[in-house]
Order: sequence, then C-alpha cells, then structure tokens
Amino acid sequence: MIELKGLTKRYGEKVAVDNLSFTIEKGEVVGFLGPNGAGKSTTMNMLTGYISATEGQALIDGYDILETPNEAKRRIGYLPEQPPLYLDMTVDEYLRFAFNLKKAKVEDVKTHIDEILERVGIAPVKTRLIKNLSKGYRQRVGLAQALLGNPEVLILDEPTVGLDPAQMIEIRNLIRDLGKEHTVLLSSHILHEVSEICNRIIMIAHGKIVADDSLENLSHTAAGGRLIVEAEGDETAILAALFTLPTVHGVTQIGAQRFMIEAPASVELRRAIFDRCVERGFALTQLKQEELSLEEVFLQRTQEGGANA
Amino acid sequence: MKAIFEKEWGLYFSTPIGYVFLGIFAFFSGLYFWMNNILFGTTDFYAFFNGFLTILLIIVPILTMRSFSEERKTRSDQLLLTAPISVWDIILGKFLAAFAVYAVALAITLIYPLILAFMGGSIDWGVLFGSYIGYLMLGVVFIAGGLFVSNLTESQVVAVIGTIGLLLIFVLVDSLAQYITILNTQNSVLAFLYRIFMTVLSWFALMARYETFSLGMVELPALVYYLSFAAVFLFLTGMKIEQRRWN
Repeated sequence: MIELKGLTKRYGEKVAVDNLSFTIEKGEVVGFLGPNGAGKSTTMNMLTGYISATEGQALIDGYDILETPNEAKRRIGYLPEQPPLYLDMTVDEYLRFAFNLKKAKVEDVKTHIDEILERVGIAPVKTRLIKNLSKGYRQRVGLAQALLGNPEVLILDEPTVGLDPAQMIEIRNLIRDLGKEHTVLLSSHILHEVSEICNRIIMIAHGKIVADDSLENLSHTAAGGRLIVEAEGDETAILAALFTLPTVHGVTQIGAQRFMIEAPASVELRRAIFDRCVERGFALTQLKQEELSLEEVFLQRTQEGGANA
Repeated sequence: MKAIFEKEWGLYFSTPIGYVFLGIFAFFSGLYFWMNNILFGTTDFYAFFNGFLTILLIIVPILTMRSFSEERKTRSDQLLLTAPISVWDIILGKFLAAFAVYAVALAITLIYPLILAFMGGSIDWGVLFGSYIGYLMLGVVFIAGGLFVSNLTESQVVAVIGTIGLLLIFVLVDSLAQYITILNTQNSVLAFLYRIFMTVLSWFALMARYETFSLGMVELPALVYYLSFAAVFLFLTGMKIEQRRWN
C-alpha cells in the first residue's frame, strides 16, 4: 500500500532522509519512531507530496506521489505535525472545505461529516470557531480532516502530541479502531503508545532505518543473549559455576542471588545452566530470557545508528 | 479551484479584511466623488478615477496580504498542497476570490454616476464604461502582484508593505521614464542601451495603457497586455511554490 524506494531528501549538504526503503502492506498499522530531527516528518511530508524527494520514489497503492499526484493523494489522509487548520472557520465549515478539496465520493456529505465528527468526539463543538478551541480539540479536528473521504492510507504525524492523558487514551483507541479498516503509518516518540497501537515498528535515526520489525521480535533480538538466573547457594560459587559454562561471555551479579548471563546463544544455554546448578547443588529458583523494553531497544538502536553515521 | 475560491471568499467575510476593504473603498470613492463631481458640478469621472488610483495602491495590498503568507505561517498550506489539486487550482482560486471582492467594491461605485444621471446630469456612458474596464484591468494586475508578494513572506505586514512598493513602481515607471528622456549622446552604444532600457521600461508602463481606457477606448491589445502581465505574476507565484517544495 505504501512503498518507499530509496527515498532521499537533501537540504544543501545536509541529508535529512537518507535512502529510505520499506513497504507497508494493506491493513498494517506501523509505528514510525525516531528521536527528534531523525527525519520522520520529512519522510511523511515526502510521502504525502507536500515536499519533493531529492531522490527515490514514494508509491501509494502503486501511484507515484510525484508523477501521478492526484491519484496518490486521493488515497491519503494526512495529519501533519501541526494540524493545518483555518482558525477563522468553524469546525463544520473547515471540514466541508477539506472535504471539497479531496474530491472524494460519498453518498451524503453531511452524514459523512457528521459520522466523523461523532467518531473523533468533536460533534458538540462543530459550530464553534476553531480559534476558540483548545489544543486537544484542534488536534482532533485535524484528525477528522484526515479521515474525510475514507482514504485507504492514514499518515499521522504525532497524533497525540499536546493532549492530556485521557484524550491520549481516547485517540489511541480511535487509531487502533481505524487500523482495522485503514493502513496506518503513525509517528510518535511516545514508545509506549506505539507499542500499544502498532503491530510493526520502523525506527529511524539520522534519516536511516535502524530497525524494522514487530514489537516482540524487536525486544527479543535486541536483548540478544541475556539470561536472568536466580539460584540459592553461595554467591561466589554460583558465579564461578555459571562463568565456566561453555560459550558464556560474562556473568554479572545484579542482586541478591540474581545473576545476568551474557552469551550469544542463550536459548540453548538454559539446559546447561539447569544441569550445572543441579550438579553443584544450587536450587535454581528462576531462569528467564530477558526482554528489553521498547525504550531500551530505541536507545540502543538509535545510538548505534548515530555511531554509524 | 471552486473549493479554494469558496473558502477564500468566505474567509474575506468571516475575518474583517473583506469589510475593511469594502469600507475603505466605499468611503474614499465617496470622498473623491464629492470632491471631483459634486463640488465641481461635473459628470466627467476622469478626475475621479485618476485621483482614486492612489487609494487603490494602498488598499489592494490589504486584499492580498493574507493570501499566502498566512497559510504558510499557520502551516495550513499543508492541507492544500497534499490535497489532490494542482498548485494552479490554489492560485487561481485565491486570485478569483480577491478579484471578486474587488469587483464588488468597484460595482458599489456605480452608484455615483447613477445618482448624477438620476438628478438629470448627462453622462458619457461610453467613457465611463472604458474607465471601469480599465479599473478592472488594473485590479487584475495589482491583485496578481499582491499574491506574488504575499507568497514571498510569512508576515502579512511585510506582504502589505512589499506590495505597496511593487505597485508604486508599476505606477511610477511612466513618470520616471520622462525624466530619463533627456539624453543627448553621440555614443551609439550608449544610445543603443538607452533605447533598450526605455523599451523594457515601457513594458511595465501600466498607466500609459490605462490612459486609453479612461478615454473610453477599450482596445484588445491593452486587455491582452494587462491579462498577460497578471498571468506572469501568477505563474511566478506557482513557480515559487514549486521551488519551495523541491528545496
């Protein structure tokens, strides 16, 4: 549904987005992560045709955004970082205008707009001027705008920024709901949010992809070969016993009777640890594969990306 | 284009700009009508139109100052540029909306000759018609120039001042040219350059062409001149938008 082929954006000498390629299939809900200035918004602006790529191609449902812009844009609902609102319009007027711009076909425009107003929870303010609305409402008006005409692809740039916690939860639920019928690309730096909504995560740093995988795989592979072992017995003896196991790189004590083992193939090591503990008479009380939180993966990957750049 | 036109037209009257423009237009045209026609007891509108030109230079920029600069400042241009419409739809929509407001303001001034006619004055409708066409043409050019300047800045204040500056140059070019005519030189290169300079300058002589209109003559070349003059500015506006997208 969304296809990026070597998408690059250069501002003079500065490379904002560097040879980005990925494909998002129909129905996927993808989180687009990266530290500030990583090129998330630039990528989204290129995908939606707001700015042009220096090199490479962006295809929406097979339509090139630069060569067949109208066909491609018709399929996109875009909520930019700053919602593109006209403060002197009422919510209703604004959505009507945005609808007319999109030249979408629906059975009845009024019902269509009313449905969306209900859905994002701004029906009560529809006759108010946008300039009199709070940040949270403005954000929702922007989101409503993106939903007009039921586009197949939704591109949302930090949709929950500036919202209070209750509103955040509401909008997240809404996006999760939208993910059932739309292909969604969502940028955020609230990792917890992405892990809740998205089934796939693309991380970028310095304009390059540093990770592209499902959340489970990401935290799993990032943890690499780390095992947490809890055993009862003499701590130094346990340390020595674990350290002498084959392929173990290191053992650190991380608490009372708690140890962390680093080894490349930690899964295969579990049986050996168990056997060793039994053999030496330690009571093994816990043995688990460590998983990294998304925050840790994020830090690890983006810093690696930075080091490579 | 229709959507943009409707939006712009609507915004002129949901913000004060439309009313301010119409108000100033009506007030000053009334004042000039009083000074030139009532006080002098004439049905000739030549002086009226010439005098009002000064006001036009100041108020047309008000009409166009918001057009692009505000969109860029509030980032609402993202909505327009990511919609399935072309840059030309946006520019033409904005242009036509500003022109429509201008035409309404101009139509209001028709009341003055009607008053005189009603009171028994004899009016040369042919000359009047020419003057109105001339004013419509000046409006086309001024608005296109204003849109162009508005697209160069995110500040409405800069847009309005810049536009006044640009329009002043348009209007003053003719009189400036008069001052440079005294050039007695034997140097053929200098004379040649001078001729080129004067030719280029004459391309921008908006007011010289307006003169023929104000005498009641509506000539096709003059119409084409004004329309293409405006088209160039709208084209440059479009190029500037495209260039920003590529950089």
